[in-house]
Amino acid sequence: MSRLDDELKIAFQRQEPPADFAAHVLARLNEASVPQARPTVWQRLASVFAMPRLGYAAVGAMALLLIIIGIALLRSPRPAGVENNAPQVAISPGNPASEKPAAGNATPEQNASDKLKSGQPEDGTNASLSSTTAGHHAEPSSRPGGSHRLISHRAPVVAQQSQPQPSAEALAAKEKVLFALQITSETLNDVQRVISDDRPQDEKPEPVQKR
Amino acid sequence: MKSQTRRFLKIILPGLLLVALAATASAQDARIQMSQLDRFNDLADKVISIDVNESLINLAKSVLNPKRSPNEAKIIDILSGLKGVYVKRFEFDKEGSYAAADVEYIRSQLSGPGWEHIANVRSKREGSYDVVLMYEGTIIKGLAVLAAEPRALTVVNVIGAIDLAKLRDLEGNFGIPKFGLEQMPGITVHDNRKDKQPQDEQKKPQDEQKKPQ
Repeated sequence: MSRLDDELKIAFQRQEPPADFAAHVLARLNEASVPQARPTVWQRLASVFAMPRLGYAAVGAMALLLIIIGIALLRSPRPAGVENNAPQVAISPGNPASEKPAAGNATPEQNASDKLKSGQPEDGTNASLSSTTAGHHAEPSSRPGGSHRLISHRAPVVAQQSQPQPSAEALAAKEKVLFALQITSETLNDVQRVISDDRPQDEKPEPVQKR
Repeated sequence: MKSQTRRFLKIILPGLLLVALAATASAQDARIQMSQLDRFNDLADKVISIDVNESLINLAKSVLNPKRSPNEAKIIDILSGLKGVYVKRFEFDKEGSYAAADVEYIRSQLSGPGWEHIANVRSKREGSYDVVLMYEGTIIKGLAVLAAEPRALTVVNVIGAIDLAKLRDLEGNFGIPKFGLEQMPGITVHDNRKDKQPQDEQKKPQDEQKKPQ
């Protein structure tokens, strides 16, 4: 016939499989049917990280999230005004919050600096504050009264520099905190008093706080 | 692709859950809500409302000097562990001015997890008192005192480590001047009785004038 027919005959020519072909196929089938051992937790965990792109993306996202939370916590309002960081507020006579609480509550240093600011003469004890010995602030002088004559007009400035005066805000905060503590203390003592009152008469109540 | 997404979620979801749990744990503090009691601001004869946060406590500590007096040393000792003090006190001119629901509103918060009752007084004559502490291990994390007296309602909420014995000893040892306290920012001491007095005083002379006749 033609050449095409010959080529087709060659192409479709029956070829016998090798003798061990069936044995090979059966062996492969047996291999595939053997159940694979279940991966352990660690293997599964390792397999998660075996995938670099998504694994690292997830870890990166978590790290970013934690960093953002950390920054947010760091930037949250922090306690301010400790020691010398307290905000200084100008003391004005009209501002009740900036006024001194009372003479009894004020410290000798505060009294001294107040009097010095107002230019009032005072006895030797407080006058020593305004003397030029800036390093010896708050130490009462044994010098008798009259030493205020030696006070120069620059003395109050020296005294203020040597003894940082608490701000009015800090004093107001102190009073507020003390007031809150006082009410708390009173309420607690009220509770104790009621408990003591409700006890039978023969029982000796605990000594209540002095009132 | 699906398996990749699943693996991605397997990492992200537990992480998010942990973060959410941590946020919830940090949010659970000893602060109790008292906003419902604000409606007594106009009803009560006298209102005391104090809000002291941590920054204010630190500011107050900067003024206190332990060397100046033993009292100040005690106060500094108490303040060292505090993070906030919140007080509300309402005084009424007659009994029954507040409802049991108002007391229960506070009390329900104090029965939550973490709170432990240390005193629970129910007196027909004196009223009811609850002293509740919140512990974190062996450390006191907060204190709440609810005093529901016949003519007064007081809620005190202290946040932070506190020594009750030291706090009780402080009563009467402050020497806090009352002058100017009402004008202090953050403290509300409103005496409604003052508003009522002028009206009463106006009535009195009229009555006195009538009597001789």
